[in-house]
Amino acid sequence: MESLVPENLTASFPWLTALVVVAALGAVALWCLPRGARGRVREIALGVSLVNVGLLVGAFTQFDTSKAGVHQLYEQYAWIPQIGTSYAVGVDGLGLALVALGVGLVPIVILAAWREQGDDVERLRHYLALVLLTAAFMTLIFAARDVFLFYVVFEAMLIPIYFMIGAFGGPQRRGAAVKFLLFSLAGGLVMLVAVIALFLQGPGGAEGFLTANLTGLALTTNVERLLFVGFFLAFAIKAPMFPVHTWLPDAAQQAPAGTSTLLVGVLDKVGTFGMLTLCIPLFPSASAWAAPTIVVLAVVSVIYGALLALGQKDLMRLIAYTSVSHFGVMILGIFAFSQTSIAGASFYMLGHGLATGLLFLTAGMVIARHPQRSQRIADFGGLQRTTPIIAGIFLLGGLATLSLPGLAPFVGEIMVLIGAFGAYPAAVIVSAVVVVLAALYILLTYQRMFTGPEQEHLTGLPDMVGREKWVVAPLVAALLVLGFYPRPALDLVEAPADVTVSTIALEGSAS
Amino acid sequence: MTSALVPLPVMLPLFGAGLALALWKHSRAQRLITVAVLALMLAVGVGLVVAADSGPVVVDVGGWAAPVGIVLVADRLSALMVTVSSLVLLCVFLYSLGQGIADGDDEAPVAIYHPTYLVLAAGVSNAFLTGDLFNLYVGFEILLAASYVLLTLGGTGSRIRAGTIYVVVSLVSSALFLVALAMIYAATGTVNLAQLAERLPEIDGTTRLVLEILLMLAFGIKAAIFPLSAWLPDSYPTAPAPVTAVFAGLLTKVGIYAIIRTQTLLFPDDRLDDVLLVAALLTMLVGILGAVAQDDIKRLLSFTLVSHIGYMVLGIALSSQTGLTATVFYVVHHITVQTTLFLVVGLMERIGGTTSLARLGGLAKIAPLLAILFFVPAMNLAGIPPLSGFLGKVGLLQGAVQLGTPLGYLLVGGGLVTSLLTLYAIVKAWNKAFWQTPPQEIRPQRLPSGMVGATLALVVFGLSLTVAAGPLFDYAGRAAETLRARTPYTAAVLGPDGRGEGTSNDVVPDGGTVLPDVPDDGTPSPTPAESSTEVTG
Repeated sequence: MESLVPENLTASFPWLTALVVVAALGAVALWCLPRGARGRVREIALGVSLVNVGLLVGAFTQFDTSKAGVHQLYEQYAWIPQIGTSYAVGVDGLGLALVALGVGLVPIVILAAWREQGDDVERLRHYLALVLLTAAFMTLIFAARDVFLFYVVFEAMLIPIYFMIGAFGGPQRRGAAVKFLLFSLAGGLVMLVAVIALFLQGPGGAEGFLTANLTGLALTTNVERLLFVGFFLAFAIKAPMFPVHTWLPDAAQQAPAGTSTLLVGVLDKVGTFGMLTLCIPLFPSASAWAAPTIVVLAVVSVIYGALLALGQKDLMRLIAYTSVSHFGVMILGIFAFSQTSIAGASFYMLGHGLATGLLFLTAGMVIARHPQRSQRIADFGGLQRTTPIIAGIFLLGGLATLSLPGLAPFVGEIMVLIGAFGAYPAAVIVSAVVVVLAALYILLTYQRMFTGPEQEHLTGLPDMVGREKWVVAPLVAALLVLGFYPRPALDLVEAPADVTVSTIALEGSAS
Repeated sequence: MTSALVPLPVMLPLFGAGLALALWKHSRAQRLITVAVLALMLAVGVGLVVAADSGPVVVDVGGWAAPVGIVLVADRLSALMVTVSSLVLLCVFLYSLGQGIADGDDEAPVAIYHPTYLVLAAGVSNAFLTGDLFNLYVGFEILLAASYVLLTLGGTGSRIRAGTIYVVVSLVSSALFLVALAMIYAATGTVNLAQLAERLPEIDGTTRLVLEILLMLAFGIKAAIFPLSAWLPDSYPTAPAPVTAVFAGLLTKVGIYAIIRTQTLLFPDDRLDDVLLVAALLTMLVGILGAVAQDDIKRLLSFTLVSHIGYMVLGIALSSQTGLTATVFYVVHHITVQTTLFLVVGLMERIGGTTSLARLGGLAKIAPLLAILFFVPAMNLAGIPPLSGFLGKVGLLQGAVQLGTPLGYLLVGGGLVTSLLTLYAIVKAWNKAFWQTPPQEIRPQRLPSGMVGATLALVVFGLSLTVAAGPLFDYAGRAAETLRARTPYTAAVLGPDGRGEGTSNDVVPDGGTVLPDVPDDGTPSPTPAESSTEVTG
C-alpha cells in the first residue's frame, strides 16, 4: 500500500526545538538560581514563557497554512540509532495549533500563580520551574514524529505533573498524585508493549521508530486490532474517557488551579491528539472496526460526566466532570470519521482548552479569596455584589464550556454534531440534548455561588486585581475572536482532518 | 601488551589487602592503599573494555598453556562487569570513609574492614575474569569469605542472626557448585570453560542436563532467583549501609554473570529456557509483591532487587540477540542504581534515625538534596523514560514480544505489572519518607560531604548511562554477539591448535578426538597430564 504520509517540509530554523530548549533551560535556570536572585523568580519565569510566545510567532510565520496537512518545521537527528529511535519533530496544522495552545497558556498560568504561595518564594520557584518543564514536554509531545520519542515524553511528562499535584495541591494531594501517576503509567505500559510490537512489525533499522516508517504497514487483522487497543487504552485514560476517567476528578480537586489548567486544558488533549495522529493513521482498519464501540463509550462519557457534574459539591471536581463530558464530544467527533466532525473535534480541543482554562483559573481566584480556601460550592454565596468582575468572567467561562454561540467551543461542538450526524444520528441527538441540559450545572453553580444574599464571612472581598485581569484577558479575547472568526484556526485543522478521512477511506476501499 | 592488564583486577586488590593488613595500625595508610587500589582497578577496567572490543584478551596464568593451566579471559562482558563493579566498589568505599570520618571513630569499622573489602573486590574480579570453572568456584569462595566478615561487622544480635542465614545458604550453594564441578570433571575431564564448550556437546544429553541443572541451582541461589531467593531480604538489610549497597549491587550480579557465561558458552542448546522463563516470571512477581508489602525501606529495596533479578533472568532465558543485549545493558544499569539507592537509604537513616517508613517523614523539606539523590535513581529503577532503566526494559520486552509464544506474552504482562508495582512501591516510599508529616520530630543535621559526594557520583554515573545509552547498547550488542557466537571465546583461549600460550606437555592425540579415553565399563580416565596439573588454582 502506498504511504499516505506526504513529504515533510524541513525547517530552516529549529523553531520547535528552540521552543522546547528555551522552556527546559528556563526550568533548569530557576532550579539553579543563585540565592540573591531568587526574589525575581516570577519575572524570570514569565520572561522565559514570553520568549517562547515570541518563538511561537516566529514558527507561525514559517508555517505554510496552505499546506497545513503536511508536517512542517521538520527536524530529524539520530538519537539512539541502535534501538531505532530518532529525535524527529514536525507539526501539521493540528500539532501547531495545540503547541500554540500550550505555549500560550503557560505565561497565563505563571501569572495566575504569582501570589499563590504567599511569600514563600522557595516553593514558588520550584512550582514555576515545574511549569516550565511541563511546557517543554507539551511542545515536544505535540511535535514528536517518532513513536518512541512520543512515548518517552508521554511518560516523562508524568513526573513534573506528579510533583505539581503532590507537592502543591490540597489536603489529599498525595493520594491524588499517586492515583494520577499509576493510572497514567498503567495505560502507558500497555502502550509500550504496543509500541515495541509495532516496531517489530515495521521495517526496523536505525529509523525504525519514525512515525512515517510505521504508517501504512501491512498488518494482519488481529495484530492491527491488538496494537490499536494498546495505543487507544493509553489515550483513553489520558483523554479521560469513561470508564477510565476516575483519576481526573481527584487530580483536579487537589491540584492548584494553574496545574488543572495545564492538565485538563492541554495535557489531556494528548489523548485525543494521539487518537488522531497515531491510532487512526497507524491502524486505519482497526480504527474503523472499533469506531462503533468507541462512539458508544464517548456518548456514555458525555452523559455520565454531565450527570456527575450535577451532583458535585466541590467546585474543581465539577469542572473536571464537565470536561469528561466534553472529551466525550471530541472523541465522538474523531471516530465519526467525517471531515467536518474531525475538524470540529480538533477545533473543539482548542476551544475547550481556552474555556476550561478560564473556568479553572477564575474558580482558583474565587477559592483564593475564601478565608479557609474552601472549594465547596455551598460555602459561597452572593459574590456577585462584592466581586462583580470575577462573577462575570466566571459566568463567561462557564457559558464558554457550555458552547454558547459566539464563543470558540460552540464552533467546534456544532461541527462535531453536524459532522457526526450522518454516521451516528442517535449518538448525536443524545449528546446534543445532554449538552444543552448541562447548562443547568453551570447556571445552578453560578446561582449558588454568586447570586443571593451576601454571606457574612465573605463581605469585603477584593475584586479582580490588575494582575488577575491580565490572566483572564487573553483567554476572553481568544474565546471571542475564535468564536466570531474561527477561519484562521479552521484553516489549520481542516487539512489534517482531510488527511485522516482519506486514510480511513483508502483503507475502506482497499479491504 | 594489553594482556598484562587482565590479571591486575585480581592481583591488585589481593596485594592491597595484604599491605593493608600489614599496616593495620596506620588507618590513614590503609585508606590510601584501598582508594588507590580501587581507582587503579577502575582504570584497568576501562583499559580492558577498550582492549576487549577487538577480541577477548587472554592470559595463561603462570605460563601454563590452556587448557592445562588456568586462564583469565576478558571478553566484552567480563571487561564491562569489572569496570562497573570497580566503579561501584570505589564509590561505596569513599562513602564508607565519609561515614567513618564523620563518626570520628578511626578504630572502627575496625582495621579489618579495608583488607576484607579488598579481598571481596578480588573475588568479584576473579569471578568475572576467570576462564576456568574451578577458578570461578574459587572466586565465589573468596568473595563469600569476605562477605561473611563484612555482613557481621559490628556483631549486633540481629546481624549475627542474619549472617547465620546468609552463611548457611551460601555454603549450600557452594556445596552444590562443588558437586557439579566434580561431576563435570568426571564427565568431560576438564574444567576449562573453553574446552568444556567443545566437550560438553559430545557427552550424553541427559548427563549434560543434570550438570546444567546443578550449576543453575548453585548460581540461582547466589543470584536470588525464586524460589531460591528467600534468604536475600532477610540477610541483606541488617548490614551497615555501604555493605548492603555493595552486596545488593554486585553479589547477585556475580551469580547472574555466571548464569550468562554458562548458559551461552557451555549449554547453548537452551533446554532450560522454559524453566528459566517461568522462574523469571515468578521472581519478578513474588519479589515485587513482597516489596509492596514492606514498611522498612531497606527490606523494600531488597525485594525490588529480587524482583529485578527476574528481568535479567528473562533476558538470559530468551536466548536471543535482543534479549542478551538488553540483559547486559540492564545488569550494568541495575548494579549502579541498586547500589545508589542503598547508599541513599543509608543517608536517610542517618538523618531520620530509622528506615521504617512509618516513622520517617518530611525529608524533602529537611534535606532537599537528599530528595533529589533518592528520586533520580528511584525513577531510574522504576523505568521511567528516558532513563536507562526504561531503555533496558524496552529491550527485554522487545525480546519477549519477539519470542511470540504464549509464555513470552505472559512474561510481557508480568514485566509490565512488575514495572507498575515497582513504581507504586517506590512512590509509596517517597510519599512516606519525604512528604508525610513525621510522626516524631526529625532534627535536621548536616550530612557528611564524603557520603553525599560518593552518592552523588553514582547518581551522576547512573544518569550518564542514559546519555551514553546508544554507545553502551552497541557495546552490549557486540558483547552479546561474542557470547552467542562462542567461537571467539574458545578460539582466543585455545588458539588454532587447541592450546593456549605457554608450556604444557599434553598434546592433542592424533586423529583429533578431544574426549578422554573411555573404557568399555564407562568410567572415564582422564589423561595423566590433565589430572596432574588441573587443580592449581
